[in-house]
Amino acid sequence: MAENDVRATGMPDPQELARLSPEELAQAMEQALDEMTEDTYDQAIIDAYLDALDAKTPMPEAPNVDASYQQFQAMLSRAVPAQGPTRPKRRSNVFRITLRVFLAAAFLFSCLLVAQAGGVDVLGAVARWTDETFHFKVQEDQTTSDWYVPYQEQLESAGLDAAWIPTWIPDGYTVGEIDVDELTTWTDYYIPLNNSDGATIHFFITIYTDPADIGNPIFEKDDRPVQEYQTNGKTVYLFHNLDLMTAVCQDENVLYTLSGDLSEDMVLRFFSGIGSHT
Amino acid sequence: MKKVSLSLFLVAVLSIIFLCPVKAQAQTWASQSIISCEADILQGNDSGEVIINFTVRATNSLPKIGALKIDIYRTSGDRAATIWGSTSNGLLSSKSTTRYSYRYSYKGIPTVSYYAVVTICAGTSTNYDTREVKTSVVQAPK
Repeated sequence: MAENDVRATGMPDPQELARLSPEELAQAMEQALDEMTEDTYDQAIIDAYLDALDAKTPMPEAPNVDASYQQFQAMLSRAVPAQGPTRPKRRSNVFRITLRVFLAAAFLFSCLLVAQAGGVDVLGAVARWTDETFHFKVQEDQTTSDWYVPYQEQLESAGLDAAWIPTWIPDGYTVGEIDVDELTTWTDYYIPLNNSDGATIHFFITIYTDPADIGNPIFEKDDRPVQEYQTNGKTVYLFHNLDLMTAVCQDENVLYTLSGDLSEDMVLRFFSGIGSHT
Repeated sequence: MKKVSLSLFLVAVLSIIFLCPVKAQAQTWASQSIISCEADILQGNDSGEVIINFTVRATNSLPKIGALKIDIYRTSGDRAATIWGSTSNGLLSSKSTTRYSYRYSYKGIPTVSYYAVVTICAGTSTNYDTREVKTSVVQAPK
């Protein structure tokens, strides 16, 4: 029998138990249990082994739950940096976003239609047209000093300043007799362009002294759409009046009107030949 | 949020439906005879005097061109006067022409505000187009 071999034949010697290692004590206790029966079971023997074990490796007290959890959190915080509370991600809703974009676009489009019915801003005056008429609407914040250009001082009594005469007229046309009407707040020059075949293109230059009157003239048109062109720093509006076409262009307080059997190319070339007065 | 989106959509649709017809106005046909016309009213130099200017630009040299009549109204809407056009009073051109303008003087009551409705015409003696041009309001000088 080995020196450390303790038989469960009786109460083990505490001194001998003290010499055993915890593993040997556990093994010996297990052996003692194996040799016991229900009749021979002796708790005192088992207690002796347990006491010896407890002396070797004391069992820790029952852990405190709160303290253990705090220790665990401390360990966790050292291992993983603390993070603030995170919001749950909203699932992107493609349909909802698309609907919002569509509604915004529809609203903006309706505003554009209102603006179209209201006209387009041209050098401070708003061009407006319907299916039947075209005219300029003067913005209320315009002042006389913003508009007045001393054209009349440049003109001779019966003629026009060279700057007003278009540098290009359609092939086959010649300038006819110029007629001038002087009214209180505007002067209207009529310059007929006569073709050898008898056709006439009517050219009017109207100079207003009162900026508010630039919105007075009403132009006849049918329900075909108004076309807009940019040339030489000016906007030219071209529209149909039954068999004829009318081109209108505003430059400061001056209104140009061209009416007759016109084409788009003719209109653009004609107005590009008139200098800007800004 | 759904209610706001639906409301916005309805506003957009209603705007398209109801604001587009704004384009239609009182005039119902383009003119074979008239390119453009205009009129305005302003204070004269004399007490109670108001001046009505108008210009008619026609598509051709036409025999009947000018103003068929001028109705002068007070701002209350009451008509103060009607002046029928003729070659003798200058409202109608005495000869065929493409463009006709006239400056008419009306003797009103000092400090009373007036506006005018000028009935423009252009065409032949039996077949002519007309247009009504309404002026702004002016106060007759003291």
